[in-house]
Amino acid sequence: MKNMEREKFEESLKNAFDKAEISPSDKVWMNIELDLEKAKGGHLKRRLMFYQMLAAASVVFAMAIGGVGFYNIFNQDQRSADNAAVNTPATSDGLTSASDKTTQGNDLAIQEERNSTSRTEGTASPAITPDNTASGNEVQGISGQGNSLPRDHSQTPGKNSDASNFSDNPQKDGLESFADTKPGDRFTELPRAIDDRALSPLYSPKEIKVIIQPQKQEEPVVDPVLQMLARLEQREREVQDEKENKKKGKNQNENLWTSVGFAAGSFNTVQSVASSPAPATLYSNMSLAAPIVDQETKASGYTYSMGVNVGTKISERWVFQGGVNYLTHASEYTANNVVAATNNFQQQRFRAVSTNDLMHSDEADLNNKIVYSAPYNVNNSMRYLSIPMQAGYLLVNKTFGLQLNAGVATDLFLQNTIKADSDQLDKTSQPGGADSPYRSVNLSGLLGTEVSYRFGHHYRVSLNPGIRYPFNTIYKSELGVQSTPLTFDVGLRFRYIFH
Amino acid sequence: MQNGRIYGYMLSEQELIDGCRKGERGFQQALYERYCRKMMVVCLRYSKAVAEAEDILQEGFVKVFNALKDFRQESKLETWITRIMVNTALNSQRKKMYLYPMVDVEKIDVPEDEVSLSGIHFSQLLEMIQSLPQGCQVVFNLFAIEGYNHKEIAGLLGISEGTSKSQYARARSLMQAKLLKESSYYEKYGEGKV
Repeated sequence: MKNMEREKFEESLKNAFDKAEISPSDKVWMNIELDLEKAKGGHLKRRLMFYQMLAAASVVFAMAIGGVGFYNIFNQDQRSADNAAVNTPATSDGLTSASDKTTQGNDLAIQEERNSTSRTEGTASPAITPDNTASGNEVQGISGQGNSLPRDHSQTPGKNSDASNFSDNPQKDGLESFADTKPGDRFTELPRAIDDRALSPLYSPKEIKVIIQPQKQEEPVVDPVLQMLARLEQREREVQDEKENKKKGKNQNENLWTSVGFAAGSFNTVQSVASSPAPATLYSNMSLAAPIVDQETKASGYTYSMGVNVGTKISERWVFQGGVNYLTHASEYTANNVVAATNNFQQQRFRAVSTNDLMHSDEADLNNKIVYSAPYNVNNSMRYLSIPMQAGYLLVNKTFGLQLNAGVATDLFLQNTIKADSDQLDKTSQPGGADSPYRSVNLSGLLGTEVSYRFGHHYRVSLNPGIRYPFNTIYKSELGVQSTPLTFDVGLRFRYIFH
Repeated sequence: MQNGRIYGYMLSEQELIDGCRKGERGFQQALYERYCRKMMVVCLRYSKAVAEAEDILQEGFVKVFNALKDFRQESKLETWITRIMVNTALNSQRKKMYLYPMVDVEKIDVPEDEVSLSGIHFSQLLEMIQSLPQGCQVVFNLFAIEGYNHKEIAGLLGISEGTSKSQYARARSLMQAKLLKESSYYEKYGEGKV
């Protein structure tokens, strides 16, 4: 009965609130709207981040395409220059070829001057006497074909300094200044002119320069005023760049740094071939030592390195870094025979068999010295001086940084030490050189990432996981064994940023 | 719809849901206006002051708009929104309960007289509920109004079933005492107060 009463109480309480309504204040909706906007903003930020990454990827792609294109053009340029040099009677009429120019003291200044004047055309000093119409006509005469060149020059009568800069040599000057123009200059009709001459579309203005140079009559004279103007402009650009760099703020100003660090990891020999059928190799001759050598070359182990690196920013997103590292590869394997030897005091000593022995002894000698033993562990420690050179792309460049690195390392072999896990056996070391079974110089490919955190104005700490793979075997070819250890290591670096 | 503004009463529940799922602010406002008053009562039941209730209401509606895309429409929209409000209120209460943990009440004096709620306005009931001690208030709301059993309440609040029962018994006795006091006031002065 009492329970029923209770249920009745709760039911009536529920009913009392069933239709109950109280208006909240208007600010509640305003706050809700604000919260929703914030959430939307966060979503937009994430989308923006995605597009930024996409843009970065596009830039990499575009640069790769640009690089290939530039390489092609440059190669073609070189070839045509070579052809021109072969086909042209070099200085028969006293004209200067491209190579001749380099030997002349003031030619660089002239070139710089020309570049600068083509950029600052129309703003040159009034002291320069314009003579563009003459140059335009002469050029037409030289080429023997009506192209757009004279039209371009005649568009700015009285002000065109390109031709007038070298008024003593109008034929050459007019064409060279034309050839030196960059994309975006007013000589943008050049490709059409090249097409008219039925040249390859990959011909660049430099090619024209090579073709017309033999027709040059006299040495160009350097105008000191123009030289000064060029220097002034260069200085102006430098000042402008400095200002821009300052604007970018302290966080962006990571143009040069040095770092110290160490790395540890492991390596696996992914390719190890003992060419036993080949009779000419040292390995195939040493029948008793062969199983041990085989184990040694296939052994995996640990690697650690420490070193100093220097890096610089070459563009907004690209960096270049290099350094010097002391690298150690330590591997372990099991052996069941030893080499007997006598020391200076004619005492009988023993040491573990290794690839070093293949270089020191002939077949009969080594086989006579090898004695079978109980299995024991052998540690082979190889030391290198590694000089890595890497290009990096900054995916994220803020307080937290994320960077992709790729490059090559030149590994200079220092020495290897064979140490047996037994007090009875001698430790042997073999420095690099003719007596060492290892190549003195190896080239390895490097690939890795760098996750970093910046603290303070000058410091950044980074974690660098990466792989290293030698392009060829680390053993000398006459040994008859191949081994290319794939290394994976994780490095920790402390970076000091110069301002 | 008039002058670009969406009036909730002109739309079906489904239209409101669809509009809100597209993130259209007009529909969100219409949904808010349709349910905000009822939900304000829910929030007030779990809080001590209007400002606190409004905070819960705001947080609750933001959750509603964010979670609406996952609403499977197995229950009425109002029921679903109420559940979100209650959960939001519980989250806010949990922090307080961490500071003032609920304990078993040893001795409860339950008034013998049965009380009637007739003639009592909900706002008076609301005041009474708000005046209950923190733990009692939550358990009372969950058991008497939301309809949860003590096992569920124990699970929701991280307390024992016994604690839930004793807290409810205490809340009920306090409510009955308040209601008796109010009833005697009515008997004496009539319902003019309300």
